[in-house]
Parts: sequence; C-alpha cells; structure tokens
Amino acid sequence: MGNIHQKTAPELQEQDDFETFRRLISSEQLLGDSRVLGKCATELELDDFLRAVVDLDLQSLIDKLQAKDGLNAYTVLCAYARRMLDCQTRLDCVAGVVMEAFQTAQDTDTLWYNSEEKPPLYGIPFSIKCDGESGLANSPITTHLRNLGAIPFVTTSISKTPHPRNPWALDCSPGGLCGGEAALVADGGAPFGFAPDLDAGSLRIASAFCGLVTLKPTRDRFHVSGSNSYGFYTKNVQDQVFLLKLFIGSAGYRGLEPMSSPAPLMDLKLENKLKIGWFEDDGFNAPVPSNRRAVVDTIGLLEKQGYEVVKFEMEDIFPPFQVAQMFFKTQRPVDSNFIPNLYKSNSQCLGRFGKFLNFPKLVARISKRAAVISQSSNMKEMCKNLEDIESYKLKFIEYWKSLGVDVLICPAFCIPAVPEKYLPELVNTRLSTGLFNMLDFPAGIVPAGHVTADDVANLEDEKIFPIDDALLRKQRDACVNSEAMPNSVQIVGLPNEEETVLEVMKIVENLHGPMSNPKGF
Amino acid sequence: FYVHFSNNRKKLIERLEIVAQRRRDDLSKNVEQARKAADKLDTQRRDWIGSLDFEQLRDELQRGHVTCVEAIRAYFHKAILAHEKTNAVTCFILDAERQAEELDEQAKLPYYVKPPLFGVPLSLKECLKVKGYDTTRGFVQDAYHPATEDSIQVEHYKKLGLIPFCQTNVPQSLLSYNCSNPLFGTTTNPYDSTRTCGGSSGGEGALIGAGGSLIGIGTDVGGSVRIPCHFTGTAGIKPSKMRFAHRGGGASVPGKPLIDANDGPMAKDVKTNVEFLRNVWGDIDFQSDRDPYCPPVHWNESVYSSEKKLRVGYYIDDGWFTPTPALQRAVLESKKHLEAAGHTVIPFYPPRLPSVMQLYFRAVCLDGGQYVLNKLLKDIIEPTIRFQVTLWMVPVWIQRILSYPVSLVFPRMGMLMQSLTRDTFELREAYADIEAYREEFVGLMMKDNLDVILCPASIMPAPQHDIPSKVVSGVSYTCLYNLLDFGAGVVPVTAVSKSDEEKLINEYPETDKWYQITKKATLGAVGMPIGVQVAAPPYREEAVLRTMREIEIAVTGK
Repeated sequence: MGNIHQKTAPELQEQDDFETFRRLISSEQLLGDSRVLGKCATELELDDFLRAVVDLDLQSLIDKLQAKDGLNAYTVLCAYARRMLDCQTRLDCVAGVVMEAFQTAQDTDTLWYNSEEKPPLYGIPFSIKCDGESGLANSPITTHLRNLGAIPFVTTSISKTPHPRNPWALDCSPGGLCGGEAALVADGGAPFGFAPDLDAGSLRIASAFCGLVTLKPTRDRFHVSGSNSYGFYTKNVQDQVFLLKLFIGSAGYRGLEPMSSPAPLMDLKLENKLKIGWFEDDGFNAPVPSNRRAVVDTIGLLEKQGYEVVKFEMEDIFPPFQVAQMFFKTQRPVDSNFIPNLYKSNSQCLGRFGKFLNFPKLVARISKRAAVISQSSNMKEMCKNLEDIESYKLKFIEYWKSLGVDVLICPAFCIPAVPEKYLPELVNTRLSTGLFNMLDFPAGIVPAGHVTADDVANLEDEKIFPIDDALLRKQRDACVNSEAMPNSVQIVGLPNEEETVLEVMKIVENLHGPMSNPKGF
Repeated sequence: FYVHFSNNRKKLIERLEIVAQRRRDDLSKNVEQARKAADKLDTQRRDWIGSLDFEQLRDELQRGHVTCVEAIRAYFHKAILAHEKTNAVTCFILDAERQAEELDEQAKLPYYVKPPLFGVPLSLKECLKVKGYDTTRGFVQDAYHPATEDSIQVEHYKKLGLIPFCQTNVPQSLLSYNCSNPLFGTTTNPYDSTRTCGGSSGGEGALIGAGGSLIGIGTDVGGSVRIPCHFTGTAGIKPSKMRFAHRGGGASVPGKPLIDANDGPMAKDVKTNVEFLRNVWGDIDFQSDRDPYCPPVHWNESVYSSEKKLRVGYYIDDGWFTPTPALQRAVLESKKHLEAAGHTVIPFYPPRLPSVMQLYFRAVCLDGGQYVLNKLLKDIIEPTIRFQVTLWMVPVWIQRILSYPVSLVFPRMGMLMQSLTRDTFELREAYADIEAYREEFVGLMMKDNLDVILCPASIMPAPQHDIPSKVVSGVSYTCLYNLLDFGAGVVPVTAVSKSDEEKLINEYPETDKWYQITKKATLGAVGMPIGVQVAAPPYREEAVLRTMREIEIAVTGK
C-alpha cells in the first residue's frame, strides 16, 4: 500500500488541486473513459447515472460494488468526487483533496474488480482527518479503511477549520471541530465519515447539528492514538453497526492499534424488553424546547410500543451544578487560558468571552452558570476533582443499576444548530455531551425529526423555557431562527455495552422514520 | 512553631505507639488461634497435604480426598511457619475455617457442582479489601478500621471456590519496594533475613517463597508484584489494568487515574499463575457485570497454547540503570532457552528511559507527593523510608532549584528532582506525554513484529531493608510497564553465583551514588534468587504467560 505524501499546502495549491479534480471528472473526460461503467452516451445520461450512484445508501452501494459485474471503484469515486465538489461550493466543508485517489481507485479495480471475494469496503470513498500541523494523517483508522478496500479522496480538518456551513441552513454551524466532516456526509458528499469525540463531545454535537447518526464508544473499545474516542457519521443506524463491526475487536484493526480491546461487537440476544431511563434536563442547563421535546416525544413513542420507561432524576445522584463544576474543571487545564480545546476555530470571539470569565465576582452576578464554568483550580483542587469524578462515576452506576435500566435517553444537546457566532458564548451547553466523556459511557445520537414552529414560539414562553441566567437568554436568542433544523436524541449505555445502545438507536430510528435530506439536494 | 509542632508530634506518636502495640498483641493472639485451628489436623495428614502442589491439591479437593477444612488447617500451619521465619502475615482470616466448613457441607449435597478452584487456600496482600478485616497500608492511623465489604475481585475468588485465609504485610504507604511499616514491623527475605523480600507485595512474596501459601494476590503500581517475585524466587504477573474490575479496590493516592494499580497473582511457579488466571478470566463476566469499565475479555487459550514461534525483543540494560551482573546473565540465559525452543530473539531498545522516569514519578506523585506526606506526618514514620520522606518534604520549587547544582555531581538525581509537577498545566502535559510514549513504544514493537519483551526484573537481587528508599529510581525496569499498562510478569531463572560477584566487584560501575549503593548492597548476595521479566501490550497476557512458562520448563524441567 503506497503512502500518501502530500505536504501541508498553501491555499493556492489547494485551489489548484480542486481544479485538477474538477477537470478529471468533467463530462468530456469521463465519457471517453472505459474505467467508468454505465455505458453512457451523452452528458445527460452520465449525470443521471452518477447521481443515481451517490443517491444509494451505504448498504446498497456496498452491494453493488460487491456484486459480480456491479459497480467499480473508479466509477463510484467519480460520482462522489462530483458531489463533493458541489458540497464544497455550497458549504466550504473540505480542507483538500487526495490527488492519488484516482490512481488508487484504478489500482483497486485492477486488484479486486474480477475477484470473487472482495474486501468489505471495496471502492467506498472516504475522507481523511487532517491535522493542519502535521500534514495528512496516516493513522491506523485510515490504514485499516484502506486495507478494507476503501478509497481516501478528500481531507477534512480538525484544528484548522475553514468555517464550514451547515447543509440545512447555510448561516448555521455544522458543529465545532468535526463540523466539516459532518456537513460533507449530511450533504451526501461522502458515504460516511469519522471524527474524534474530543473532550466535550464534538463528534456528537456535529452529528446532532447535521441530522446524522453517530456513536462514541467506550474509550478502549475502539482505541485510537491520542486517547480520544472516535466514531463514525452515517445516515442510519444499520450503517453505523456495519462500520463499527469492522473495527471493534477486529484482528486487522488490532494489528494496527494493539491497545484496542479484543472483545468484538456482539449481536444482542434480547430475552426481555429493554427498560429505558430518560431525562429531559440535566439540572444544570436546560435544553431549549425543541431538544427537550425530542426526548419527550421519543419516550412517548416507546411507551406506546410497550417499553418500560423510568424517569432518571439527575438531582438524585449528585447536585447538578457540582457535576458541572467537575466537568468544566477538566476542561480548564491552565489558569490563564480558557478552554482552548473547545473553540479553536473562533479565537477572536472566544478571547473576549474568555477575558470576561476571568473576573469571577462579576461573572457570578450575571450568570450562575458562567460562574461554574469559570471556576479556577490549582494542583490540589485538580487532584481532588479527579477523586470526585471517580466517586461520581460509582454513584451514577449505582443509581443506574438501582433503577434497573438498560439505556438512558436524554437530550442530544441543549440547542439545535445555530449561527456560528453564538457557539463560543454557549460553553454552558457542553455538559450535555461532555458528561458522558467524563464518565466514559458509550453515547449515540439518533435524528428525531425537526425543530417546529411551535418549538420556536415556545422559546418566548417563560413557563416553558424560563430565563434565569444571561447565558440562557443568549441560548434563546441563538435559536430564534432554528425552525426546520434537525432534532436528535442522545442514547447512552454503561461502559462496554455498545451493543445495547445500538439496539435502542435502531428502535428509536424506526419510530421516527428516516431522516429527510437537506434542501438544495 | 517548630517546638509546638514537635510537641504535638510527640503526643501523637505516643498515642499511635499504643495502638500499634495493641495491634501487634492482637496479631500474636490471632496467630495462636490459627495455630489451634491447625493443630486440629493430624500431623501426618497435614504434612501430606502441605506437600501437594497447586494442581495436586486442587484435584484432591475436587475428588473429595481432601476437605476444605483440612486444606485451610494445613495452610494455617504452613503460613505460621513461614511467618515465624519472615514476619509475612498481618492477620490470619479465622473466618476461613467457617467458610471451609460451609463449602464442605455444600459438597455433600447431591446437586452441588464444585467450582473450579474449590477449597484452595488463597493469601491476600493486606490492602485488598476483605469484609471485616483491616486494610491499613502500614499506617497506624488506619488500624481498627475494617472493610465493610469485599472488593469485587475477592468476591469473585470466593465464587470460584478459593478461600482467603490470611493477609500479608506491606511497606508503609505501599510506595516503597521494601516491606517495613511501624505497625507490623519488617518482613524479611526467606533466603536471607538481613535482606528485604521486596515490596509492596513483599509479604506475599515472602509467604509464598517460604512455602506458606500456594497462590496469593498482590497489587502492582510500579513493580510491586514483580519485584517481590524476583527477590524471593517466585513467579507472578501484573496484567494490564483493564483485565480486572477496580471498584472497591483501594489506591494509595486518590486521583491517580493514568498509572493505575492492578491486582496480580503470585505463586511458586508460572504454571499455578496460568491455572489461576485461566479460571478467573474464563469467568470474567462476573467482574464485568459489576464494574462496567472492565471489558469482557476472556482467557484466550489459543494464544497461550499456540505452537506458533514467538518473536521476542530483549534488552539487558535500559539505559537508565545498569543491572548487576546476575540479572544480565539471567536475561541472556533465558534468551538461550527461548532460542533453543525455536523462538526468534532479537535486541530491542526501550526509548528514552530518563524521560520515562520523570513521567512516571510525575504521574505517581500526582500532587507532588503531598497527600502521602501529609498522611505520614500524622503517623509514625517507618525508619527505612525516612530518606524518601525527607525528599518529599522539600517543596517542589526548591527541588527544581537544587536540581541544577546537583546535576553537576549527580546527573540522574538532578533529573529526578525535576520530576514532580508544579501546576496543572505540567500535569496535563505529563498525561499527554505518557499517551504519546505508549504509542511510540508499541509502534517500535510493531515495526519489528515483536510478540513480547524479555528484560531484567530489576536492577539488583534482594538488598538490605533500607536500600530501596535510597535507590528509588531502581524501579525503572518494572515501572516502565506500569506506565505503558502492559501485562508484565516475572519468572525465577537462576541465583547469584560467585562469578557474578567477581564481575560485580571488577566491572560494575561506581559513577554515582546510586551505583555505589547498589554495588555495596549486592556484595554477599551469592545464592539469592534472580528472575527475568516478560512483557507485552494489553490483552496479550496469555503470550506473556506462555513465554514465562517456556522459560520455567527450560529452567526447572517441569
């Protein structure tokens, strides 16, 4: 397997690469290319054929690639490269292209097209995570995907985001650090994506903002260098399970990443109907009406299906503001810098907000939630905090077991996708996802309809959404134009019980029906 | 202020001395009660049961030729003899006799199926929680605070049929590799009472080494299972932390998440370790169900029993601390044994050990050692670790400043004095560096396609009791694998020979204080046992055990 050698390029070089890509997939180029299947005679036929390829869901695409005399890697790559360029024009979600992709696809076809046994991801294009400082990553995930026959064709950035736009509303953010990847997948520019779930849950936030399915596994169940959990973005739960099975416990992946657990992803044998815990508010930061309703509606649907549901009282485990304090202390490693990991992409706005948080007394007067966020800590307090977190984990699990629940359903986030300018100031919302990083619980996101006009109207009703804090007011302001944005729920399980989480994700997905595609498709 | 502090400490120590004396008196009574129980068993029968090895005793218990009560009484007797020789035991678990009686009664029921390790006596390091018994960690202030429940693992061992029958001694605070504390005194090496049995599972090492137990459980955070095994000629393994449940266990320093303690079995031989772990990991769901953080990774017989030849990386010097000649020879002899068995053995170079030592001490003394220091200052300080405590009393920033002049005359000490963290930023950096080092080390193994690592078990054979706290950095061979969270075990291979002693005198370096102390401590060590260490990445403990077992067979013939 050849190495990808591409230095970090200045923008001009990236533009040239995009143009080269565009030329390679122009109609004139492809109509005469025998590597492209479909036997299209006209530009119109070609366009229709390639669009039909990218409209396939992942399983159908895999079936056609695996079939004898089915699709080949080169054709699928051309189809996705075209769609990707359209996405890029609209969303600016891609950092660069992989120039070797076409050669890789051709080589892959030469090797596998006529073979009876093809690797499971033969011909599937995917994007590579790119950390701007160190060039293209040749990480075990990428290597394993290539070993499975997949074709890397674009890069999306983690630390150097190009301000991607959300495919559902171009003025909204697709989510912080992983937004480019999520936007690309949601807009159909790649069959699936993968991204790290950085400390506060960036994988899941982007998934919720873009209407995708994802799961953050228990940390060592799917070990990745650098110690962050990684997860996939897919359009549905079935694809999520398929991809996770190729990695979790896989001998091939463990050959590349030996620290991963060898326990494979098992098929769940259900003896009893699952018992489901739920909460709509973690007690620290209330979700806006749309995100709360997503949970309530989901629980209502499950009850109608005969599932036993139990209210999960977060206050009964530990005071919510103290839990928030524990979490935010882990996010503030240095006294003089504020949460550098959370919002690298918007340092100017962050800087102003961060300075404000350095005046604790002023902060406490204006916002009790901001006061929790701005707690400073020294060495002694940090050690105490680590001990408190261990103690909280035990309490949480004890409470969980005392209720006898199998999974927990809760808000995916406090807000739906909002304009990017609001995000740096809504750090308070991060506990929704970050809690399960702190606990190291597997946590998945499943789409659950859309924000409705009623949801938006309810923002103004202080009986439904009480404003007792400056940050909650800002949260409300951020959501006034969120109608029609994707809505989601979060589904959480005990460590090493990804199988149960995925099962419930599937059930919830079926109850809500398939997610529609962003307008502009 | 000093006078006031001094007076307060004097009063405190007087009160603590009373408690300590009372506890020692209680131990004497406890030993007498155990002796009475043991004497109920006929001498000839007792000696026969005592002569059985682990597998033989297990089989006799399964067949009913030996009852659980008889097994417990026999081992009360053997443990008392070992205790008289080494001072290994802190408490006999007298409840074991009742537990044995219960098991014997259940065995009479027609439908009863004996668990796989039915009736086998088990010794436990004192810091493992047993309901109703103390876990003092060598602190007088923690005496008479019995545990309110068993730890998950002790629960599991009982379910498998094992019967915990005694608790064994530890060094104060568990953070030294000798085995002395003001509460129970000093545990000695069964081969030479002027030398230490190692620590912090030193009581287990001494007890098993002196024949007082067939199988015991220690804990290991820097080598605390492996060093006692090496010093006492026994075999043990520290698995990676993910392979056991940890809720209900007790760390010595709270908030120490990246270098976790883990339990590890210790026994006379590797074979017993294998048999024990085969049963524990064959039933790992018991632990996973109770601690969701414990992955359900079962015993992998195909890896342990594989006929595929292994690729082994070996080293005899880690670049931080040269081991004394006997330890180097042990590795080279083991290399020959493995090559004779058809395996490939090639050199391996663990990267940047000086940095590893800094990272390790930074992560273990999370708060600059303050928690442990505060606890020690409220207790009687064990004389053999006074040197270590003195170091801890120096503020971190002064240590940093003094490290520069010290580096001129004693470079390695200077480096260590820069280890302790000053603020949360450095601590966060240390964690990131540890993660990066893990990836680097595993990457090097993958590049050479290595299955396991073979290396020295320590820097020297068992030294005198006060030496460990003067050569704190001597844990580099074992703490590396705690930092990496690898499975790592020690198997006895040889003993110090006269020619080793001659090489020590003629060739061993004297370039700094640590080498001088080590050299002097090793004089007169002829005959002391020497082990080697085998290590592998997480979830490959079966490969470690296989390698250890092959070395054991080559050395002992059985």
